[in-house]
Amino acid sequence: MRYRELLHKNAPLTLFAMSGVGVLRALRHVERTGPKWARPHRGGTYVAEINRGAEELSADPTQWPPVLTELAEHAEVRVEPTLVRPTMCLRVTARGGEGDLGRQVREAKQLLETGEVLASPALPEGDRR
Amino acid sequence: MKALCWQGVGQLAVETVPDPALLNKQDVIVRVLASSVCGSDLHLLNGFVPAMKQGDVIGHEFLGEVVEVGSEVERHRVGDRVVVASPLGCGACVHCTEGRWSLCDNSNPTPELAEAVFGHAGAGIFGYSHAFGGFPGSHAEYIRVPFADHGAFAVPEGLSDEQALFLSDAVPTGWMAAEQADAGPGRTVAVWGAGGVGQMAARAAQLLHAEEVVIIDRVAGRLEAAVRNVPGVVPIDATSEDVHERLAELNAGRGPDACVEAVGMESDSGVPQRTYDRVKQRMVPGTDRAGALRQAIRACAKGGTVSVAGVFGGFVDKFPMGAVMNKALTLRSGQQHGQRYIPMLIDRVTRGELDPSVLATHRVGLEEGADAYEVFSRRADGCVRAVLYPGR
Repeated sequence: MRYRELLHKNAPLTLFAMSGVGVLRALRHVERTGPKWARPHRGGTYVAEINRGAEELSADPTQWPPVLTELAEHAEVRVEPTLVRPTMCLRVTARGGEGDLGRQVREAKQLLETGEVLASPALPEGDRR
Repeated sequence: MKALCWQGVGQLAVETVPDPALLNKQDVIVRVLASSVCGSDLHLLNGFVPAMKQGDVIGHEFLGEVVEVGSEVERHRVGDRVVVASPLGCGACVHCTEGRWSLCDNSNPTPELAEAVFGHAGAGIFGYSHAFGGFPGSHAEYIRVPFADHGAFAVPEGLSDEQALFLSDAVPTGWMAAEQADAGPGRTVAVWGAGGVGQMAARAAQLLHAEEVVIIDRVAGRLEAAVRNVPGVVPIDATSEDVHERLAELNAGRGPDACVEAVGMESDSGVPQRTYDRVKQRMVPGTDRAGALRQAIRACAKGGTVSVAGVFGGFVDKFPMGAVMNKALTLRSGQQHGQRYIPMLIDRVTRGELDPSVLATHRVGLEEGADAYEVFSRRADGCVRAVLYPGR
Protein backbone atom coordinates (compact mmCIF):
# COMPACT_ATOMS: atom_id res chain seq x y z
CA MET A 1 0.00 0.00 0.00
CA ARG A 2 2.81 2.35 0.94
CA TYR A 3 4.53 1.73 -2.38
CA ARG A 4 1.32 2.41 -4.26
CA GLU A 5 0.90 5.69 -2.39
CA LEU A 6 4.48 6.65 -3.11
CA LEU A 7 4.00 5.83 -6.77
CA HIS A 8 0.81 7.86 -6.82
CA LYS A 9 2.48 10.85 -5.16
CA ASN A 10 5.42 10.75 -7.57
CA ALA A 11 3.35 10.21 -10.71
CA PRO A 12 3.19 13.91 -11.72
CA LEU A 13 6.95 14.26 -11.26
CA THR A 14 7.60 11.10 -13.28
CA LEU A 15 5.28 12.27 -16.07
CA PHE A 16 6.95 15.70 -16.08
CA ALA A 17 10.44 14.14 -16.30
CA MET A 18 9.35 11.72 -19.01
CA SER A 19 7.80 14.47 -21.10
CA GLY A 20 11.01 16.50 -20.69
CA VAL A 21 13.04 13.59 -22.01
CA GLY A 22 10.59 13.24 -24.92
CA VAL A 23 10.89 16.93 -25.84
CA LEU A 24 14.70 16.79 -25.68
CA ARG A 25 14.80 13.72 -27.91
CA ALA A 26 12.49 15.40 -30.42
CA LEU A 27 14.72 18.50 -30.47
CA ARG A 28 17.83 16.37 -31.01
CA HIS A 29 16.09 14.59 -33.87
CA VAL A 30 15.19 17.92 -35.52
CA GLU A 31 18.78 19.13 -35.02
CA ARG A 32 20.10 16.14 -36.90
CA THR A 33 17.54 15.62 -39.62
CA GLY A 34 15.24 18.65 -39.73
CA PRO A 35 15.20 21.52 -42.26
CA LYS A 36 18.32 23.69 -42.42
CA TRP A 37 16.69 26.63 -40.64
CA ALA A 38 15.91 24.42 -37.65
CA ARG A 39 19.46 23.13 -37.22
CA PRO A 40 21.62 24.88 -34.63
CA HIS A 41 24.03 27.56 -35.76
CA ARG A 42 27.42 26.23 -34.77
CA GLY A 43 29.08 29.65 -34.54
CA GLY A 44 29.91 31.25 -31.23
CA THR A 45 33.16 31.91 -29.45
CA TYR A 46 35.81 29.22 -29.24
CA VAL A 47 39.14 29.53 -27.49
CA ALA A 48 42.08 27.16 -27.78
CA GLU A 49 45.38 27.19 -25.95
CA ILE A 50 48.28 26.78 -28.36
CA ASN A 51 51.55 25.50 -26.96
CA ARG A 52 53.64 27.93 -28.98
CA GLY A 53 55.49 31.00 -27.77
CA ALA A 54 55.04 34.55 -29.07
CA GLU A 55 58.28 34.23 -31.03
CA GLU A 56 56.81 31.27 -32.94
CA LEU A 57 53.31 32.54 -33.62
CA SER A 58 52.76 36.25 -34.03
CA ALA A 59 49.65 38.14 -33.01
CA ASP A 60 50.05 40.06 -36.27
CA PRO A 61 47.61 38.63 -38.86
CA THR A 62 50.01 39.36 -41.72
CA GLN A 63 52.42 36.82 -40.26
CA TRP A 64 49.95 34.06 -39.51
CA PRO A 65 50.32 30.58 -40.96
CA PRO A 66 47.74 29.60 -43.62
CA VAL A 67 45.50 27.73 -41.19
CA LEU A 68 44.77 30.88 -39.18
CA THR A 69 44.43 33.03 -42.30
CA GLU A 70 41.83 30.58 -43.61
CA LEU A 71 40.00 30.57 -40.30
CA ALA A 72 40.00 34.38 -40.29
CA GLU A 73 38.24 34.40 -43.67
CA HIS A 74 34.96 33.46 -42.03
CA ALA A 75 35.45 34.17 -38.34
CA GLU A 76 36.91 36.94 -36.22
CA VAL A 77 40.27 35.56 -35.01
CA ARG A 78 42.54 36.91 -32.29
CA VAL A 79 45.93 35.63 -31.10
CA GLU A 80 47.22 36.70 -27.67
CA PRO A 81 49.23 35.36 -24.72
CA THR A 82 47.33 33.12 -22.32
CA LEU A 83 46.65 34.39 -18.83
CA VAL A 84 47.86 31.20 -17.15
CA ARG A 85 51.09 30.66 -19.08
CA PRO A 86 51.75 34.02 -20.68
CA THR A 87 55.35 33.32 -21.64
CA MET A 88 54.73 29.87 -22.96
CA CYS A 89 51.35 29.65 -24.65
CA LEU A 90 49.14 31.68 -26.87
CA ARG A 91 45.42 31.58 -27.10
CA VAL A 92 43.49 31.71 -30.30
CA THR A 93 39.98 33.07 -30.03
CA ALA A 94 37.58 32.65 -32.93
CA ARG A 95 34.19 34.33 -32.91
CA GLY A 96 31.19 34.09 -35.26
CA GLY A 97 31.96 31.97 -38.27
CA GLU A 98 30.13 29.36 -40.25
CA GLY A 99 29.78 25.63 -39.86
CA ASP A 100 31.23 23.81 -36.88
CA LEU A 101 33.58 26.53 -35.63
CA GLY A 102 34.54 24.49 -32.57
CA ARG A 103 35.91 21.70 -34.74
CA GLN A 104 37.71 24.21 -37.00
CA VAL A 105 39.45 25.80 -34.01
CA ARG A 106 40.37 22.38 -32.61
CA GLU A 107 41.84 21.33 -35.95
CA ALA A 108 43.75 24.62 -36.27
CA LYS A 109 45.25 23.98 -32.85
CA GLN A 110 46.26 20.45 -33.88
CA LEU A 111 47.87 21.73 -37.07
CA LEU A 112 49.78 24.43 -35.23
CA GLU A 113 50.99 22.07 -32.51
CA THR A 114 51.53 18.74 -34.24
CA GLY A 115 51.74 19.65 -37.92
CA GLU A 116 48.71 17.62 -38.98
CA VAL A 117 45.10 16.88 -38.11
CA LEU A 118 44.63 13.47 -36.57
CA ALA A 119 42.46 11.41 -38.89
CA SER A 120 39.25 10.23 -37.29
CA PRO A 121 39.64 6.49 -36.97
CA ALA A 122 35.96 5.63 -36.83
CA LEU A 123 34.78 3.75 -39.85
CA PRO A 124 31.59 4.87 -41.58
CA GLU A 125 28.58 3.15 -40.07
CA GLY A 126 27.96 1.17 -43.25
CA ASP A 127 31.44 -0.36 -43.16
CA ARG A 128 31.27 -1.53 -39.61
CA ARG A 129 30.28 -5.10 -40.32
CA MET B 1 41.86 -9.03 -40.77
CA LYS B 2 40.24 -10.73 -37.78
CA ALA B 3 39.32 -8.70 -34.70
CA LEU B 4 37.37 -9.16 -31.50
CA CYS B 5 34.43 -6.77 -31.73
CA TRP B 6 31.86 -5.43 -29.28
CA GLN B 7 28.41 -6.50 -30.45
CA GLY B 8 26.25 -5.17 -27.66
CA VAL B 9 26.08 -5.41 -23.87
CA GLY B 10 27.83 -8.62 -22.82
CA GLN B 11 28.43 -9.73 -26.40
CA LEU B 12 31.74 -10.11 -28.21
CA ALA B 13 32.46 -11.84 -31.51
CA VAL B 14 35.40 -12.28 -33.86
CA GLU B 15 34.71 -10.55 -37.15
CA THR B 16 36.50 -9.71 -40.34
CA VAL B 17 37.16 -5.95 -40.42
CA PRO B 18 39.17 -3.76 -42.83
CA ASP B 19 42.94 -3.75 -42.28
CA PRO B 20 44.23 -0.53 -40.73
CA ALA B 21 46.10 1.89 -42.97
CA LEU B 22 48.51 4.75 -42.39
CA LEU B 23 46.25 7.83 -42.12
CA ASN B 24 48.70 10.31 -40.61
CA LYS B 25 52.40 10.90 -41.14
CA GLN B 26 53.20 10.03 -37.52
CA ASP B 27 51.40 6.65 -37.65
CA VAL B 28 52.84 3.18 -37.62
CA ILE B 29 50.97 -0.06 -38.28
CA VAL B 30 51.71 -2.76 -35.74
CA ARG B 31 51.13 -6.50 -36.11
CA VAL B 32 49.76 -7.44 -32.72
CA LEU B 33 51.83 -10.17 -31.05
CA ALA B 34 49.96 -10.16 -27.72
CA SER B 35 47.04 -8.21 -26.31
CA SER B 36 45.67 -8.46 -22.79
CA VAL B 37 42.19 -8.24 -21.36
CA CYS B 38 41.83 -5.50 -18.76
CA GLY B 39 39.29 -4.83 -16.02
CA SER B 40 38.31 -1.58 -17.70
CA ASP B 41 37.26 -3.53 -20.81
CA LEU B 42 34.57 -5.07 -18.63
CA HIS B 43 32.99 -1.63 -18.11
CA LEU B 44 32.72 -1.30 -21.91
CA LEU B 45 31.52 -4.88 -22.29
CA ASN B 46 28.92 -4.51 -19.55
CA GLY B 47 27.45 -1.38 -21.10
CA PHE B 48 28.52 1.17 -18.48
CA VAL B 49 30.23 3.33 -21.10
CA PRO B 50 27.49 4.60 -23.41
CA ALA B 51 29.70 5.57 -26.34
CA MET B 52 30.28 2.07 -27.72
CA LYS B 53 29.01 1.16 -31.19
CA GLN B 54 28.37 -2.25 -32.61
CA GLY B 55 31.50 -3.48 -34.37
CA ASP B 56 34.00 -1.53 -32.24
CA VAL B 57 37.28 -3.42 -31.75
CA ILE B 58 38.22 -3.49 -28.07
CA GLY B 59 41.58 -3.95 -26.30
CA HIS B 60 44.14 -1.36 -25.24
CA GLU B 61 47.07 -3.24 -23.69
CA PHE B 62 49.34 -4.67 -26.35
CA LEU B 63 52.70 -5.38 -27.82
CA GLY B 64 53.57 -6.01 -31.44
CA GLU B 65 55.88 -5.72 -34.39
CA VAL B 66 56.05 -2.62 -36.59
CA VAL B 67 55.10 -3.51 -40.16
CA GLU B 68 54.54 -0.07 -41.74
CA VAL B 69 55.93 3.34 -40.86
CA GLY B 70 54.56 6.84 -41.62
CA SER B 71 56.76 9.38 -43.36
CA GLU B 72 57.43 11.49 -40.25
CA VAL B 73 58.16 8.64 -37.83
CA GLU B 74 61.78 8.84 -36.68
CA ARG B 75 62.17 6.39 -33.80
CA HIS B 76 60.80 3.20 -35.34
CA ARG B 77 61.63 0.93 -38.23
CA VAL B 78 59.82 -2.01 -39.80
CA GLY B 79 60.54 -5.10 -37.69
CA ASP B 80 60.87 -3.29 -34.33
CA ARG B 81 59.15 -5.01 -31.42
CA VAL B 82 57.26 -2.32 -29.54
CA VAL B 83 55.06 -1.96 -26.50
CA VAL B 84 52.49 0.82 -26.87
CA ALA B 85 51.05 3.08 -24.16
CA SER B 86 47.27 2.74 -24.10
CA PRO B 87 46.52 6.51 -24.13
CA LEU B 88 47.59 8.47 -27.19
CA GLY B 89 49.72 11.57 -26.72
CA CYS B 90 50.73 14.09 -29.40
CA GLY B 91 53.88 15.18 -27.58
CA ALA B 92 53.27 18.81 -28.52
CA CYS B 93 50.37 20.18 -26.47
CA VAL B 94 50.90 21.69 -23.06
CA HIS B 95 49.72 18.56 -21.22
CA CYS B 96 52.06 16.21 -23.09
CA THR B 97 55.03 18.54 -22.69
CA GLU B 98 54.37 18.67 -18.95
CA GLY B 99 54.11 14.85 -18.69
CA ARG B 100 50.32 14.54 -18.37
CA TRP B 101 50.04 12.42 -21.50
CA SER B 102 46.58 10.98 -20.87
CA LEU B 103 45.20 14.52 -20.91
CA CYS B 104 46.52 15.23 -24.42
CA ASP B 105 44.58 17.98 -26.19
CA ASN B 106 45.15 16.64 -29.69
CA SER B 107 44.66 12.89 -29.66
CA ASN B 108 40.91 12.62 -29.22
CA PRO B 109 39.18 13.41 -32.53
CA THR B 110 35.71 12.91 -31.02
CA PRO B 111 35.81 14.90 -27.78
CA GLU B 112 32.21 16.15 -27.79
CA LEU B 113 30.68 13.51 -25.50
CA ALA B 114 33.51 13.66 -22.96
CA GLU B 115 33.34 17.46 -22.99
CA ALA B 116 29.62 17.33 -22.30
CA VAL B 117 29.99 14.88 -19.40
CA PHE B 118 33.38 15.79 -17.90
CA GLY B 119 33.75 19.44 -18.96
CA HIS B 120 36.91 18.65 -20.94
CA ALA B 121 37.98 15.63 -22.96
CA GLY B 122 40.96 13.44 -22.12
CA ALA B 123 43.32 11.84 -24.59
CA GLY B 124 42.24 9.23 -27.09
CA ILE B 125 42.67 5.66 -25.86
CA PHE B 126 42.88 2.55 -28.04
CA GLY B 127 39.68 0.48 -28.10
CA TYR B 128 38.01 2.54 -25.40
CA SER B 129 34.75 3.85 -26.86
CA HIS B 130 33.94 6.90 -28.94
CA ALA B 131 34.19 9.17 -25.90
CA PHE B 132 37.93 8.47 -26.09
CA GLY B 133 38.39 8.90 -29.82
CA GLY B 134 36.82 5.73 -31.21
CA PHE B 135 40.23 4.22 -32.00
CA PRO B 136 40.05 0.55 -32.97
CA GLY B 137 41.55 -1.61 -30.23
CA SER B 138 44.29 -4.18 -30.05
CA HIS B 139 42.33 -7.43 -29.97
CA ALA B 140 43.03 -7.68 -33.67
CA GLU B 141 45.73 -8.88 -36.01
CA TYR B 142 46.89 -5.34 -36.80
CA ILE B 143 46.47 -1.89 -35.27
CA ARG B 144 47.20 1.67 -36.34
CA VAL B 145 49.28 3.58 -33.77
CA PRO B 146 49.14 7.38 -34.20
CA PHE B 147 51.91 9.59 -32.69
CA ALA B 148 54.12 6.49 -32.70
CA ASP B 149 57.33 8.33 -31.83
CA HIS B 150 55.78 9.24 -28.50
CA GLY B 151 53.58 6.24 -27.66
CA ALA B 152 55.48 3.19 -28.93
CA PHE B 153 58.61 1.97 -27.13
CA ALA B 154 61.16 -0.50 -28.43
CA VAL B 155 61.34 -3.65 -26.30
CA PRO B 156 64.90 -4.77 -25.44
CA GLU B 157 65.81 -8.22 -26.73
CA GLY B 158 66.20 -9.71 -23.26
CA LEU B 159 62.55 -9.15 -22.36
CA SER B 160 59.88 -11.72 -23.24
CA ASP B 161 56.58 -10.65 -24.81
CA GLU B 162 54.73 -11.20 -21.55
CA GLN B 163 57.28 -9.26 -19.51
CA ALA B 164 56.83 -6.29 -21.83
CA LEU B 165 53.10 -6.58 -22.60
CA PHE B 166 51.81 -5.22 -19.29
CA LEU B 167 54.08 -2.17 -19.55
CA SER B 168 51.41 -0.91 -21.94
CA ASP B 169 48.86 -0.32 -19.18
CA ALA B 170 48.72 -2.37 -15.95
CA VAL B 171 52.26 -1.58 -14.78
CA PRO B 172 52.29 2.19 -15.45
CA THR B 173 48.76 2.46 -14.03
CA GLY B 174 49.86 0.72 -10.83
CA TRP B 175 53.08 2.74 -10.65
CA MET B 176 51.31 6.04 -11.17
CA ALA B 177 48.71 5.12 -8.55
CA ALA B 178 51.41 4.35 -5.96
CA GLU B 179 53.36 7.47 -6.85
CA GLN B 180 50.26 9.67 -6.66
CA ALA B 181 49.42 8.12 -3.27
CA ASP B 182 52.84 9.34 -2.07
CA ALA B 183 53.86 5.77 -1.25
CA GLY B 184 57.29 6.03 0.30
CA PRO B 185 59.43 5.48 3.40
CA GLY B 186 57.48 5.36 6.65
CA ARG B 187 54.11 5.12 4.92
CA THR B 188 51.60 2.30 5.13
CA VAL B 189 50.01 1.68 1.75
CA ALA B 190 46.68 -0.11 1.30
CA VAL B 191 45.61 -1.24 -2.15
CA TRP B 192 41.98 -2.11 -2.89
CA GLY B 193 41.76 -4.70 -5.68
CA ALA B 194 44.22 -7.56 -6.19
CA GLY B 195 43.90 -7.67 -9.98
CA GLY B 196 46.68 -6.77 -12.40
CA VAL B 197 46.75 -3.05 -11.58
CA GLY B 198 46.39 -3.64 -7.83
CA GLN B 199 49.28 -6.12 -7.77
CA MET B 200 51.47 -3.76 -9.76
CA ALA B 201 50.53 -0.85 -7.48
CA ALA B 202 51.52 -2.95 -4.47
CA ARG B 203 54.86 -3.87 -6.06
CA ALA B 204 55.43 -0.22 -7.02
CA ALA B 205 54.77 0.82 -3.42
CA GLN B 206 57.41 -1.68 -2.27
CA LEU B 207 59.90 -0.36 -4.83
CA LEU B 208 59.15 3.16 -3.60
CA HIS B 209 60.19 1.91 -0.12
CA ALA B 210 56.80 1.99 1.60
CA GLU B 211 56.99 0.63 5.13
CA GLU B 212 54.09 -1.80 4.79
CA VAL B 213 51.89 -2.74 1.85
CA VAL B 214 48.44 -4.24 2.32
CA ILE B 215 46.19 -5.59 -0.43
CA ILE B 216 42.42 -6.04 -0.08
CA ASP B 217 40.06 -8.09 -2.23
CA ARG B 218 36.95 -10.22 -2.03
CA VAL B 219 38.27 -13.00 -4.29
CA ALA B 220 40.45 -15.50 -2.42
CA GLY B 221 42.23 -16.64 -5.59
CA ARG B 222 43.32 -13.11 -6.39
CA LEU B 223 44.65 -12.55 -2.87
CA GLU B 224 46.63 -15.79 -3.14
CA ALA B 225 48.05 -14.61 -6.48
CA ALA B 226 48.96 -11.23 -4.93
CA VAL B 227 50.79 -12.90 -2.04
CA ARG B 228 52.63 -15.13 -4.52
CA ASN B 229 53.48 -12.36 -7.00
CA VAL B 230 54.26 -9.57 -4.54
CA PRO B 231 56.14 -11.24 -1.67
CA GLY B 232 55.82 -9.38 1.60
CA VAL B 233 52.39 -7.92 0.91
CA VAL B 234 49.76 -8.34 3.67
CA PRO B 235 46.44 -9.72 2.33
CA ILE B 236 43.01 -8.81 3.73
CA ASP B 237 39.99 -10.81 2.62
CA ALA B 238 37.08 -8.36 2.63
CA THR B 239 34.52 -11.18 2.69
CA SER B 240 35.69 -12.59 6.02
CA GLU B 241 37.51 -9.74 7.77
CA ASP B 242 36.51 -6.25 8.86
CA VAL B 243 38.73 -4.21 6.57
CA HIS B 244 38.60 -1.04 8.66
CA GLU B 245 39.52 -2.88 11.87
CA ARG B 246 42.31 -4.89 10.26
CA LEU B 247 43.85 -1.78 8.73
CA ALA B 248 43.63 0.05 12.03
CA GLU B 249 45.25 -2.92 13.78
CA LEU B 250 48.18 -2.90 11.38
CA ASN B 251 49.38 0.58 12.29
CA ALA B 252 48.20 1.45 15.75
CA GLY B 253 44.78 2.70 14.77
CA ARG B 254 46.07 5.36 12.43
CA GLY B 255 44.87 3.73 9.23
CA PRO B 256 46.85 3.59 5.98
CA ASP B 257 48.55 6.85 4.99
CA ALA B 258 48.27 6.03 1.32
CA CYS B 259 45.25 4.28 -0.19
CA VAL B 260 45.13 3.05 -3.77
CA GLU B 261 41.75 2.25 -5.25
CA ALA B 262 42.30 -0.23 -8.10
CA VAL B 263 38.74 -1.50 -8.48
CA GLY B 264 36.68 1.14 -10.29
CA MET B 265 33.07 1.57 -11.22
CA GLU B 266 31.91 -2.03 -10.79
CA SER B 267 33.01 -2.56 -7.23
CA ASP B 268 31.59 -5.61 -5.52
CA SER B 269 30.42 -4.88 -1.97
CA GLY B 270 28.33 -6.91 0.45
CA VAL B 271 24.92 -8.05 -0.80
CA PRO B 272 22.73 -5.14 0.48
CA GLN B 273 25.12 -2.42 -0.71
CA ARG B 274 25.71 -4.20 -4.02
CA THR B 275 21.99 -4.58 -4.67
CA TYR B 276 21.34 -0.94 -3.79
CA ASP B 277 24.18 0.27 -6.04
CA ARG B 278 23.09 -1.97 -8.89
CA VAL B 279 19.54 -0.63 -8.79
CA LYS B 280 20.88 2.93 -8.88
CA GLN B 281 23.25 2.03 -11.70
CA ARG B 282 20.38 0.66 -13.77
CA MET B 283 18.12 3.62 -13.04
CA VAL B 284 20.97 6.12 -13.58
CA PRO B 285 20.99 8.32 -10.41
CA GLY B 286 24.42 6.81 -9.72
CA THR B 287 26.21 5.31 -12.69
CA ASP B 288 29.22 3.95 -10.82
CA ARG B 289 29.33 1.41 -7.98
CA ALA B 290 31.96 2.85 -5.67
CA GLY B 291 32.06 0.46 -2.71
CA ALA B 292 35.86 0.17 -2.64
CA LEU B 293 36.36 3.91 -3.03
CA ARG B 294 34.03 4.66 -0.12
CA GLN B 295 35.86 2.11 2.02
CA ALA B 296 39.27 3.55 1.07
CA ILE B 297 38.20 7.08 1.99
CA ARG B 298 36.78 5.91 5.30
CA ALA B 299 39.86 3.84 6.18
CA CYS B 300 42.47 6.38 5.07
CA ALA B 301 44.53 7.99 7.84
CA LYS B 302 43.95 11.63 8.69
CA GLY B 303 45.89 13.79 6.27
CA GLY B 304 46.42 10.79 4.00
CA THR B 305 46.11 10.39 0.25
CA VAL B 306 43.60 8.37 -1.74
CA SER B 307 44.81 7.59 -5.23
CA VAL B 308 42.16 6.33 -7.64
CA ALA B 309 43.47 4.07 -10.40
CA GLY B 310 40.20 2.18 -10.94
CA VAL B 311 38.17 3.53 -13.83
CA PHE B 312 35.06 5.61 -13.14
CA GLY B 313 32.89 6.91 -15.93
CA GLY B 314 30.03 8.91 -14.53
CA PHE B 315 28.53 9.76 -11.19
CA VAL B 316 28.96 8.31 -7.73
CA ASP B 317 26.13 8.40 -5.23
CA LYS B 318 26.82 8.66 -1.48
CA PHE B 319 30.33 9.95 -2.05
CA PRO B 320 31.81 10.53 1.44
CA MET B 321 32.89 14.11 0.89
CA GLY B 322 32.56 14.76 4.62
CA ALA B 323 35.38 12.30 5.32
CA VAL B 324 37.54 13.82 2.59
CA MET B 325 37.06 17.31 4.04
CA ASN B 326 37.20 16.62 7.75
CA LYS B 327 40.16 14.23 7.58
CA ALA B 328 41.98 16.62 5.21
CA LEU B 329 42.48 13.88 2.63
CA THR B 330 44.11 14.38 -0.73
CA LEU B 331 42.30 12.72 -3.62
CA ARG B 332 44.29 12.05 -6.78
CA SER B 333 43.38 10.20 -9.94
CA GLY B 334 43.76 9.98 -13.70
CA GLN B 335 44.25 7.63 -16.61
CA GLN B 336 47.87 6.55 -16.66
CA HIS B 337 50.55 8.70 -18.32
CA GLY B 338 52.29 5.69 -19.85
CA GLN B 339 54.65 7.72 -22.03
CA ARG B 340 56.15 9.21 -18.86
CA TYR B 341 56.67 5.90 -17.05
CA ILE B 342 57.33 3.20 -19.67
CA PRO B 343 61.07 3.91 -20.30
CA MET B 344 61.79 3.82 -16.53
CA LEU B 345 59.67 0.67 -16.13
CA ILE B 346 61.45 -1.09 -19.02
CA ASP B 347 64.72 -0.46 -17.15
CA ARG B 348 63.29 -1.83 -13.92
CA VAL B 349 61.96 -4.98 -15.61
CA THR B 350 65.30 -5.44 -17.38
CA ARG B 351 67.09 -5.18 -14.02
CA GLY B 352 64.72 -7.79 -12.56
CA GLU B 353 63.10 -5.48 -9.98
CA LEU B 354 59.69 -6.14 -11.43
CA ASP B 355 58.26 -9.09 -13.36
CA PRO B 356 54.87 -8.22 -14.85
CA SER B 357 54.65 -11.55 -16.69
CA VAL B 358 53.29 -13.09 -13.47
CA LEU B 359 49.96 -11.42 -14.28
CA ALA B 360 49.38 -13.62 -17.34
CA THR B 361 47.35 -16.55 -16.10
CA HIS B 362 45.52 -17.55 -19.29
CA ARG B 363 46.68 -17.63 -22.91
CA VAL B 364 44.28 -17.97 -25.84
CA GLY B 365 43.95 -17.22 -29.55
CA LEU B 366 41.78 -14.39 -30.84
CA GLU B 367 38.94 -16.82 -31.62
CA GLU B 368 38.69 -17.74 -27.91
CA GLY B 369 38.67 -14.07 -26.87
CA ALA B 370 35.01 -13.96 -25.88
CA ASP B 371 35.47 -17.06 -23.69
CA ALA B 372 38.54 -15.48 -22.10
CA TYR B 373 36.47 -12.43 -21.14
CA GLU B 374 33.83 -14.70 -19.67
CA VAL B 375 36.41 -16.42 -17.42
CA PHE B 376 38.05 -13.07 -16.59
CA SER B 377 34.78 -11.37 -15.67
CA ARG B 378 33.85 -14.20 -13.27
CA ARG B 379 37.40 -14.17 -11.82
CA ALA B 380 37.15 -17.92 -12.38
CA ASP B 381 39.99 -20.41 -12.62
CA GLY B 382 42.42 -18.03 -10.86
CA CYS B 383 42.27 -15.62 -13.79
CA VAL B 384 44.17 -12.37 -13.26
CA ARG B 385 44.86 -11.50 -16.90
CA ALA B 386 44.09 -13.48 -20.06
CA VAL B 387 46.45 -12.78 -22.96
CA LEU B 388 45.15 -12.98 -26.51
CA TYR B 389 47.63 -14.11 -29.16
CA PRO B 390 46.15 -13.15 -32.56
CA GLY B 391 48.75 -15.23 -34.41
CA ARG B 392 47.94 -18.40 -32.51
